[in-house]
Amino acid sequence: MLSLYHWEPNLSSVRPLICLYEKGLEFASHYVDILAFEHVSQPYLAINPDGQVPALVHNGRVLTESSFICEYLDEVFPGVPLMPSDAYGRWQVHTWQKLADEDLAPSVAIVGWHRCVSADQRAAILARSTDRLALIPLQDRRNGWELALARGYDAARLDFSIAKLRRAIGQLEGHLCRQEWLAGHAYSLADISVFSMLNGLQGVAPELISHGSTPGVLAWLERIRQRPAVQASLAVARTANPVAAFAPGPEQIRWG
Amino acid sequence: MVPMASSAPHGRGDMVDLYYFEPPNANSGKPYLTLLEKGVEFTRREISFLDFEQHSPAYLKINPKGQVPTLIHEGRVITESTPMGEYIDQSFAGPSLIPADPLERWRMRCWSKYLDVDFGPALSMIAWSRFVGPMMRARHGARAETVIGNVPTQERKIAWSTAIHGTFTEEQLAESGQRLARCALKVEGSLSQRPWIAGNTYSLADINLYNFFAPMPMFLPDMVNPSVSPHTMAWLQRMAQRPAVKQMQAESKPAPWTR
Repeated sequence: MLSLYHWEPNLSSVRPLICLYEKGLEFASHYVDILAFEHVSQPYLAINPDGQVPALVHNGRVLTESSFICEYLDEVFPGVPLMPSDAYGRWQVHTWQKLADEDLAPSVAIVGWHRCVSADQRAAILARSTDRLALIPLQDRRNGWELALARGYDAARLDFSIAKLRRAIGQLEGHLCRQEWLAGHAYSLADISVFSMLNGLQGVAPELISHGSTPGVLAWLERIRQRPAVQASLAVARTANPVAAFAPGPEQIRWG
Repeated sequence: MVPMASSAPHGRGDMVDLYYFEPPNANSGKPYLTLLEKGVEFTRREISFLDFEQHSPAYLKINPKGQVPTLIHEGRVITESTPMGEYIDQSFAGPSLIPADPLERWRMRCWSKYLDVDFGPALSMIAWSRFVGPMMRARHGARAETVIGNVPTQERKIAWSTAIHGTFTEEQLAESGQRLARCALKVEGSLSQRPWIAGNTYSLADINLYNFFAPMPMFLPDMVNPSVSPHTMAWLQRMAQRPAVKQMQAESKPAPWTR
């Protein structure tokens, strides 16, 4: 029995959704509304004491970290393989996942939050959740939420995030103008990981992704959007525009 | 680093070369110890970080990000120490360092990521502040700005400048100290439940943790000692007795700040 706790099908929540649909697995979908602070509600903390979303429950075991949830699903269940079988191909997937988790995820969340969540919305979320911030179990996540809600991001942090995204997208473009998929010759968890971070970025930061500057990245995003598993994943949305759903993300690596 | 679309040939196909900071510890110690555990013959290519050799034109040709370690195998350039560990395990014969149980594998990967994004950078900040920064300032003096200018990316220029000049704030250092303390609790909690960090099997997670955590009894003596964290101390001892760990230690020169 598989249960997935997820928010809107964007960023880290969409990753295991795509993986489950690609593998053709049956699962119970549980929607956790992060902007309503359901991830620190008692029922959810009883399932996942870290309060992290997404979380997969398999045979009573709770698994977090979307990259490793996907790898676990691929290793445990049959269906279409989402990892290359050779060591070099697997290394490629792991380095792309690292790029998605450590470079893209924090920066996309900062730029997305800044541009998609207005000051009024932030004030409203803060007003109804002040008593809940203290319930966030992980210290760095609690700090991240306090910063995003109470103070917002300063210009230096936004510039740093944009620069990080610009360099990463440049690397992707260099790769995708020559190759169909990121790792080896087949669609893999590398594509799913990076797609999950960039699917909505064109709308949020058109200066970073456009037909003029990144045609390879745009064509690759479109190839992935055509996949039935990706369409099924995006269909679990409860808001009109799930790719504009942002919450404070993981912290930026301090050594740049 | 992102995979290179076409890897330029480096060295002979059957050779294994490891570029690492000497003495091998932290990220450099991870593949070094993994290769020793697997019994792989490899050419040791020391990079002097005291002299910023990782930002020299010769090394940037090998790894344009100027990061260490780098592994060369079958003409391919393998970077990023955590993915490198799984690559080494799968490419060579010798004892398996990835658990067969998918849940233990998941745990191994979660620990390795936690070390990469949380504990490792926090420990590094404290080590730079206490030992490495002062030594760098004494060694390079006014030349430090030239050295920083050679760092490939702007974000890393800022990080290196902070580290070399020792301009970490008290708040940053205190926060890093809290992360070290949380890690000590997390390690003890985990090892009180299972013999190795990911479960019943010795794995890459133990290798990765040991390369950062070994000096913790010195950094945090109040929290990492036989009475407060007996499981951690027993694990450190078991690690230190492994032939591969002994070999790595025997091949290491003393840390620069103790010379």
